[in-house]
Amino acid sequence: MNKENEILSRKLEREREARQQAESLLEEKSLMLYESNKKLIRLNKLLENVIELRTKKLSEREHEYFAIVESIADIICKVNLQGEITFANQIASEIFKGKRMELLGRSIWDFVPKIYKQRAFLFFAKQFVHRNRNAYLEIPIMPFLGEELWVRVNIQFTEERCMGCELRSCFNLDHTNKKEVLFTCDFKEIIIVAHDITDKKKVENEIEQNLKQQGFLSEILAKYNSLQIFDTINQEVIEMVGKYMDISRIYIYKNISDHYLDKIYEWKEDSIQAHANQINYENVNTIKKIVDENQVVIASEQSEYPMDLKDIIVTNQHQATILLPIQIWQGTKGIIGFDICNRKYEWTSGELKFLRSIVNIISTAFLRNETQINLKKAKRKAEEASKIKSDFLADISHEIRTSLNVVLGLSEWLNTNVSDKEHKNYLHTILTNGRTMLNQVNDILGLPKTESGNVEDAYEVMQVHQVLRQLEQKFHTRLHEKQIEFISQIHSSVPEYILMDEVCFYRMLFSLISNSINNIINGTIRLEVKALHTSDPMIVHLLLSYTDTRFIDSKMNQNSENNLFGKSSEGMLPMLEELTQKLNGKLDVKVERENGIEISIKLCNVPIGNVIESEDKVSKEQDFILEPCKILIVDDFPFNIMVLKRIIDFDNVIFYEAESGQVALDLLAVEKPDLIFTDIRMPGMSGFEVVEKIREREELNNVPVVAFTASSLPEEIAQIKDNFDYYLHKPVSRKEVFYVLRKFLPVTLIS
Amino acid sequence: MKGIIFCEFLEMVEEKFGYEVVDGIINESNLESQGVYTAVGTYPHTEIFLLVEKLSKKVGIPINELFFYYGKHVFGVFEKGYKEMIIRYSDAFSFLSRIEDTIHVEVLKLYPKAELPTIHITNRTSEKLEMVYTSQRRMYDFAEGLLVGCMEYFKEEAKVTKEFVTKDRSKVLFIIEKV
Repeated sequence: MNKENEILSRKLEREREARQQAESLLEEKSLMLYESNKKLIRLNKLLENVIELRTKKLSEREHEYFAIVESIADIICKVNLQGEITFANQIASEIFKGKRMELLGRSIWDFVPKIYKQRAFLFFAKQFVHRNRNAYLEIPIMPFLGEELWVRVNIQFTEERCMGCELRSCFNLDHTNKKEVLFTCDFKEIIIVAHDITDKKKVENEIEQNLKQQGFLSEILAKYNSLQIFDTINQEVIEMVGKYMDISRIYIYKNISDHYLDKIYEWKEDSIQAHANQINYENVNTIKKIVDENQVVIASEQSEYPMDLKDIIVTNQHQATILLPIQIWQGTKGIIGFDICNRKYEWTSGELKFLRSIVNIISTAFLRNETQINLKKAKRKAEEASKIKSDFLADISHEIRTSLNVVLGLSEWLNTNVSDKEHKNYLHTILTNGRTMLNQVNDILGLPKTESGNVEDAYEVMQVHQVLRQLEQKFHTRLHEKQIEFISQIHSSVPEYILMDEVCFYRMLFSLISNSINNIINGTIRLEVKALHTSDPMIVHLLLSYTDTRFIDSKMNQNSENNLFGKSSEGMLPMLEELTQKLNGKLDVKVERENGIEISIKLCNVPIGNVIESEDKVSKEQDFILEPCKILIVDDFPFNIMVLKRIIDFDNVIFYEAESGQVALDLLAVEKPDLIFTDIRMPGMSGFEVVEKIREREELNNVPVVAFTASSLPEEIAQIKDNFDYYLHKPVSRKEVFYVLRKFLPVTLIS
Repeated sequence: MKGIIFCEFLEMVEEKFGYEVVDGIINESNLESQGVYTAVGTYPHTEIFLLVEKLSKKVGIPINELFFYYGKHVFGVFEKGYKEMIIRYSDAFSFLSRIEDTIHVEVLKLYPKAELPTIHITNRTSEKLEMVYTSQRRMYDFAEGLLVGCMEYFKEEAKVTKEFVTKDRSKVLFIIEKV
């Protein structure tokens, strides 16, 4: 029993101890719990503080962000995936002209014009994929009220797109107004920033329009530069302007300031009444004022017209008008009106400027046209003056030639009929000088030197010593005066007779000698002539060597440095060259001042003249005898008739003479000659009229008519060639006359 | 080792053999704790081996059998005390498969210093479960008892066999085959 009690008491003791142990353990545990609880509470508080701080900072940031968003002068909107606006800044609502609340929930596509929707959607979609921060799109937008605006749109995404995003289903800013969105998509909103570029666009548009207008102005200018008639151009230009500017009617009144209208141009649309000829602008003060002060009348409707215009315009159905002056030089020479009929129209300053440019072009064109007309007048006057001058010269030439004809004709006749050698010599001198004079007259008048165009060959048999003798005689007195010795030497190699253009040869030496005489005193002129044989025994080269020894005083020396041939010989060298060339020669000039000049001339291929030919010169020309015939000579100057008669010195010729065309025609009524010579310029009936009358008569049809004229006017020669069978130029030579005789009359040749 | 193991063991011994035996083995074992145990306390695990060894001598039942029976008994205690943790499973294999990642996790929450064995399922079919038990305390007989208790609780008949994986017997493979 004791043992049982002992065990029991030990058990109880153990249980008590265990309970105590448990209690202390629990207490310990609860203390630990308490501690950790306290720690937890502290941590919690800390966390709460941190969160509060963060929240505060975030909200500050948000405030700042919104402040920035509000202060930026760009439209900033947030839209969700349906395209509904979820946020809009102040600028956006101002620009869209609506309240901010009204904007929220609206689709942004309501503000994009239809034609731009596709483009904008593509841009959004592209950005959705590529996220290019710098990409932008320029589109117009339409606010609730007012004009459309141009904006540059930039879009930003606040979130990454969700993993399962399919562009079409997720990104559904539905521009087709189809509401179909995947609500599971994480993607919530897009920020749209739009910068107003309306002003920039306006400037761009203006530039574009300006360029177009420049093009149009160039077109008008080109038109004025075309070869069309001025009036036609003007008409076309105003039509172009009218169509380009959409103007109903344009009219140009020119010269209204001088109280008369010298020209009216008008263009109008088909349905519009004509304007021209209806208004008497002289009496309208406003118009006068524009003209006087270079102003402009501009009206957008009838009520804006100046009072005095109103009465006129009301009856003329137009509404808007611009009147501008045409300015030429300093004055105003007309007025251009631009009307828009049947509707009001506000002219813009750009249009006014443009119209002014057009008016300037038209004004310039008028000015140019006027200048051209004046120039034409001046030209006509100048031409008239020139013609009078040429006519005068032709008359003078005619007179001189007529006289020369007689002198030369009769000298020639004498030359063939005189047997005295000395007389013959004199006559030869007269003939040579006469021909020289004829050439000089032609030179002065600027007419062709070689005569009559019929006989080309001016080469005749010539004796060199004879020419030299003539020259010596010619200058005899002057040589003596200036104490100049003239020494001429003809080498034995020079043939007695050569074929040479004697006149030309003579002039060549003449100019050389006269130049020397002008420039030297007390010296020597030496002329040597040599001949060089060629392979052809009948042809030689002629060498002329010309020197003058000059003892020039110092006064003359000063000038001679610049001019080889001295003062009075300007133009001598070119003339000398020309003559030499004509004679198929070469000119070689060597100058030594102390010794004077030295010139050598080589005339190539000079044919040797036949001695017999020369002696039989006359008979050669006259190697025929005329058959019996009748020749009519018509000339108002009896000496001319005489000259011809002396040249045609055949026994069996019957001459008829007439001093005027009428006399000739009367004579022709009874006689039928075989050949008719007629002068051209005669008092009463001219040679042309005579030949015309002759041609009218059938019986005279086959009678050759030869003009016998002193005229050298090219146009008159041309006319003569057309109307006559042949023509002779006064003064005539035997050769020419004989040529005509043989051509038109039956002859018997002398073997 | 958790005090509950000692408390339940001594309670079971008192129930089967009377407190005299309990008092006897405590006195003979010369324990550090003097045989004073509370469920919330922690005690050296060597003491349970000492107590079981003394009991075995006193009552003439081998040590492994004593551990086995004790295991079976403890399952009943656990089942009563932690019903909500077992009731959610409909069969034994499902429950056993989740011991490591549910029950042991919960135990560690309450007793961070607890030294628990690890249970690793190596094979599972509807008829057979193979699991490796690893514990430095080598209380595989106790574990076997728990397994058998578990099968009985789920009213499933099965044969439990064990193989020692390592020589020191710290790793043991249990094969549970349904009958």
